[in-house]
Amino acid sequence: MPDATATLDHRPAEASSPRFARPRPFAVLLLVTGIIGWVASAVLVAERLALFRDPEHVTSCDINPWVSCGKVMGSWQSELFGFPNPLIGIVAFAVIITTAMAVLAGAQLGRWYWIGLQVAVSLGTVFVIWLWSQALFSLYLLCLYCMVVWAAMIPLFLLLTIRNLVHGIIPAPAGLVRFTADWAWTLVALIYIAVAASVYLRFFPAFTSPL
Amino acid sequence: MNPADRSVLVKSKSLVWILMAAAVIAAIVVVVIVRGNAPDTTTESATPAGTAETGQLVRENSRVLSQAPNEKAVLVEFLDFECEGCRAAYPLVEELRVEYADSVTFVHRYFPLPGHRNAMNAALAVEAAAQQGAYEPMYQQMFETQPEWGESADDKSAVFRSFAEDLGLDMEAYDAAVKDPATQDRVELDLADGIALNVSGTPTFFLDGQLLAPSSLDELRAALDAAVAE
Repeated sequence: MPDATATLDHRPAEASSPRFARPRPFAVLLLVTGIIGWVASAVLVAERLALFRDPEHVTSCDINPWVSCGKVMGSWQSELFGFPNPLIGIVAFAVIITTAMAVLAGAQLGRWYWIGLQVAVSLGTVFVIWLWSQALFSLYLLCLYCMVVWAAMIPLFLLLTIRNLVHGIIPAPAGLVRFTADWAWTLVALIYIAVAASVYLRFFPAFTSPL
Repeated sequence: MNPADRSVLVKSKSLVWILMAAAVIAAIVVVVIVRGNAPDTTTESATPAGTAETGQLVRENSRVLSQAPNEKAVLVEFLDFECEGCRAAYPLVEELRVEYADSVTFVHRYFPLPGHRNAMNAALAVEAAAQQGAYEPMYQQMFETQPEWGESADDKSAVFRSFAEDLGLDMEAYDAAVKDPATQDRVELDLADGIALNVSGTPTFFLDGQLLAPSSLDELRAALDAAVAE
């Protein structure tokens, strides 16, 4: 254990803290979710550019009338800030990857850095929840690569939040910290299943339709 | 954490994971069962005896909105009465229908999207009305009132039935038609044709068999002008 003076910014992780919250494993988590999110965003940007060049372009994710990136890209929701949403992903996931690399290289990031990362990832999560609600309840369309981004954001947000709870970056009662640390991966799985269930129920006819 | 607490935690966690696994398996089983049952009814309905395979743009039973006396072009629209895009296109198409009444035949095909709770109900209601010669007023009523019933999670069949009543239809025949599986088969045949023609959303237009992707009324008008001029 490092001595207490060396960890002014971090409450020393208890011996019982979950493995994923330790620097190296956590950096690997950031790296994996960051790369998955970045690649999905990059494919979406590439498909969007192909659609700009040729409006008749059939994207690699146009599978049937209900699973179609091309159709989603035609919507205003796909460019909320006036430019295609995945451009945000290209920039933001690159920061996640960079952070992962820095930690793997041995960097000790200050408390304010983790707070900043938490705020940014939380905003990204709010955005993704909004995209999920639009896809399911407004557009009635599924976009595969967009769902890959959702799939990356869920563990990224949950595990980063729990990591920050464990390290005292986010102040919280010990009981809550212990609970989220114990149940971290189960929470991730539960949210995955809840999101999958929402898609499943909303698009049930599409899954069962033989057409 | 003492060993007793630890074992409670492990036990409760295992239970949650087992329940999650069970939910996933149940969901997969339901899909497999529904798909397994589907071919009995849908292969028959999608390709009823006597009809050629799917992918036909216009069938004998397709709803012709207006037949042009000097037909020079045929515009086919695949539409879903619960789709906002179709509702947006509706006044424009009506405008074109007046403008090109003499030279362009307008045909409608049903394409109820499964994400819309009442798309099929609306299509059944319109088809039932159509069987009494009231396609046009019924479909117009659907688009005029769409904001009142669209995007609802509830069954709006009763609302659609009241439209039919307002139109003074024979309600006995209407109810029978809505209930008749042949009516749904009829709608699903349109849907199957659309899917075979790569229709991937609504509204989708075909002008003389060519898929159109107009981004404005003017573009649609230009395409019609070109088709009529030929």
